This record gives sequence, C-alpha cells and structure tokens, in this order.
Amino acid sequence: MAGSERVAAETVAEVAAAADLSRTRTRRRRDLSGSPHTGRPSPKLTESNFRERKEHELATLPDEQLISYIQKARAAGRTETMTLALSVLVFGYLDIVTRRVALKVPPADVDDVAHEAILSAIRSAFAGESIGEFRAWLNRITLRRIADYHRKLEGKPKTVPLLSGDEEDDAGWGEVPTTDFEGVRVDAERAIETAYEGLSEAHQRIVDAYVFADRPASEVASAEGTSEDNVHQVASRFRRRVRELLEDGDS
Amino acid sequence: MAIVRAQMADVENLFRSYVAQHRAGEDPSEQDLLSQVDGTDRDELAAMIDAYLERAPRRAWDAEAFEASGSAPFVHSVARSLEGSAGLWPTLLPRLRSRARVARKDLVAELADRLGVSGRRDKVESYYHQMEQGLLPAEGVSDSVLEALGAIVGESRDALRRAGQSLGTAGGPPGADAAVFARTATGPVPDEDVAEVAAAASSMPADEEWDDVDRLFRGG
Repeated sequence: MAGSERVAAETVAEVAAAADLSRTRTRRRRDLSGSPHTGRPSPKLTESNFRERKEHELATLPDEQLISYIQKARAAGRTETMTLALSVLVFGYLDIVTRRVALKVPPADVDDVAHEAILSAIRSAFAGESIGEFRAWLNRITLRRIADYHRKLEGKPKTVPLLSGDEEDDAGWGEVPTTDFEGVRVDAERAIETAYEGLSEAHQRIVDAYVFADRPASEVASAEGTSEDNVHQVASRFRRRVRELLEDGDS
Repeated sequence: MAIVRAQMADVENLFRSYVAQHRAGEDPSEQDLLSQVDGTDRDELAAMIDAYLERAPRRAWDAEAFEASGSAPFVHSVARSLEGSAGLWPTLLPRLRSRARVARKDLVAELADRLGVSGRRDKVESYYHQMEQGLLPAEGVSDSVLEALGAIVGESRDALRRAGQSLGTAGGPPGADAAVFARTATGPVPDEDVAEVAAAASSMPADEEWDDVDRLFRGG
C-alpha cells in the first residue's frame, strides 16, 4: 500500500480523479455518442487574439483544454507553440499506450501500434469527429488498434526485421522468424470490466482509489465514509470475481 | 480456498509492485513481471496492469524526459500533419515505408517504374518527399500514384486517400505551398531535407509546362 508521506491535497485530487474516471467508464457510450466535441478551431481566431501560455501552464491543463489550445495555436499559425502543446499531450499518453500495447503485441510491433493509436485519437480530435472525452476515446482507440493488429496478422507468418536501422537507413532488410510471443489474451480485460460493472458506484470508487490509484485504505475509507475493513473487503471481493471470471472463461 | 488466496496474494504483490514503480516514475517491465507467473495468474496480472494503465493519470510534463524518450520525431511529424495539406501522410508514409522495410530510394525507383516514368526518377523523388513532408496537397495526387504506392508499402489506395484528407482547418488554405514551406522551414522540423524539397518545389513548372509526372502528382 502507498506510503503515508503522500500529501493530503494530492490524495484528495487523485481520489477525485479516480472517481471521475469511474463515472467516465460507466457513461462511456453516452459520451461517445453525445457531447459535441467538434475539434474545429474557431474561424475567428487570429494571431492577434491568441493568448500564448507558458510551458508550466500547458502541463497543468486538462486534456480537453490542452486540445483546444492546440487547435487555437494551429489556427493562429503558431507552429512552435502548437508543437509544444502537442508534445505535452503525446508525452502524457504515449508511455501509457505503449505499455498497454506491449501487453498484447510482440515487442517488434509495439511502437508501431502505439503510434497508430495516438495518431488515430489525435486525428479524430482534430478532424471534427465527436469523440467525447479524449482519454476515454484514446482508451477505446487503443483497444481497436490492438484488435486491428491481430486481425491483420491472421494468416501471416510471424517475422521480425533482421536489421533494426532507422527509417532513413538505406541498408538492406531481411527477416527472420520470431520466437513465439506469449501475448496476453486480448479479451482478458473483459473480466475486469465485467467485475467492475457489477459493483455499485460507491464500490467502483473504492476499487478505483484503493486498487488502481494505490491510495491507503484509511484515506479511501475516510473519503467514502466507511471503514477500512470494508475497503479491504470490497477490493478482495472484486479481485475474487475477476479471478472467477478468468477461470470460468465467462468474461 | 487456501490455494486461491495464495495465488491472489502473489498476483496482488506483483501488481502492487508494478503500480508503485510506475507511479514513482520508474520503468517497470511488464514482460519481466508477467514472466514470473503463468496461466490464469498471468491473465489476471495482465488484466490488472491493463486496467491500472487505463486509469493512470496523464504523465506529468518533463521536457528533458521528453527529449530523451525519442518521441520528438513522432510529435514533429504529427505537427507537420496538422500544419500541412496532406492529412496524416507526414506521419503515416514514413511509418509504412519502414514497416514494409523499403529504403526511400528503392521505393522511389519502384514507384517511378510502376508509374511508367522511370526516366523521371528525380522528379518522382521530389514529389514523394513532399508527400512525406505534408507539402503536397493530397487532393492533387492521382489514384494511380496511390495505387502504386499502396502496392509497395502494403496499404490500400483508399486508406492512403483517407489518410491524406485534411485534419480540420489547417493554418493555411489548400494549395498555399509557399506559406506552408515558410511555416515548416521556420518550425521545429528536424528533417534537413525540407529546405532541399522547398527549393525543388519552388522550381516546379507552371501549369502550361506540366509533364506526365506533374499530372500524376498534382493533377488529381
């Protein structure tokens, strides 16, 4: 469990964020089909009325505001500003997406699939599609790109490049058969989702904060107005349910 | 029941260890961790890690870590996509070429051959380079070019066409090549070939001087 040195303010903010995510997950479908997020910059934006933000300000902007800022910088023709904000966004998520992809895709193809996922999400955000919350959309797109990867791979022999030169490398290319990649079942996350969706909203918040945000049981109990024992029990029941679903193949 | 509890404890300890390392800004290896368990334990641990990552907060901005991460070229290619007039081509085309394991000069040679203009390889190279840089308006590139290019890099003509579609409102009007060149040349684009391509483009023929290669890449 997390160390006690973590400050209270951070704790409250993170538990709140976890709770937000919990709510986001339960309303994901509604978000994706509603909430117009046009992605188009205002036609009235010009160089003169664009307010440039400092780097440290960009770092603290929520996703939607950061994307909006990138759109405005783009419309104002502020290339360097736009690129910096884009860097903040990509840096913030590329590692997470890459790690998720690495759980299900052989190492040689991880970067390619992760970049494709980030690119697809950004494209949607900027091409005027209605995507709801960027984070939920990115999560969804990441799973799609992983599924696409496995679909394309069906029937193809597994290979990896013999040389790992950069993109501009003019050297020859070759391929050798891979050793088997012991990938994780693509649908394994369904066990988590099924177990999670079987919880009440209050218990979802507990699981988010205690299990996935690594908050101390005492703080979660205090925030939720319950006992530490109950926090442990909720987490334990959740884990047992996940295990049952995986073992039954009923996820 | 006792066995189930022991299994859960092992998986839980590994999961806790992963979360603690990741939240501390370390670089835990998912595969190393997963190699310590198998069967259902492995599936459970992987699913838990995946669920944690799905909820993990956006990584805090760190300019030095960003530079060290090797992500800068990717970000710059995305920026070129947003700036340019060729949709995602600046990001997609180099990746497709890399995935197909084809060197650019070989791709250009084959593209010129497939288009029946092998005698104008230099010009094909210049146009292809503009496509990768997002400097060539996608709507002007003919289906023949996309068909041939797709056959080389293993992508469909339609997918290439879709990727080249505009990403909303760009910084400049379609076809404003000079403005695009200017913005790109002064922006943080690491590719030293941009100036060379801009120079090549500036010497492109006027409409009445178009040859077959111009029509293929600019005639739609």
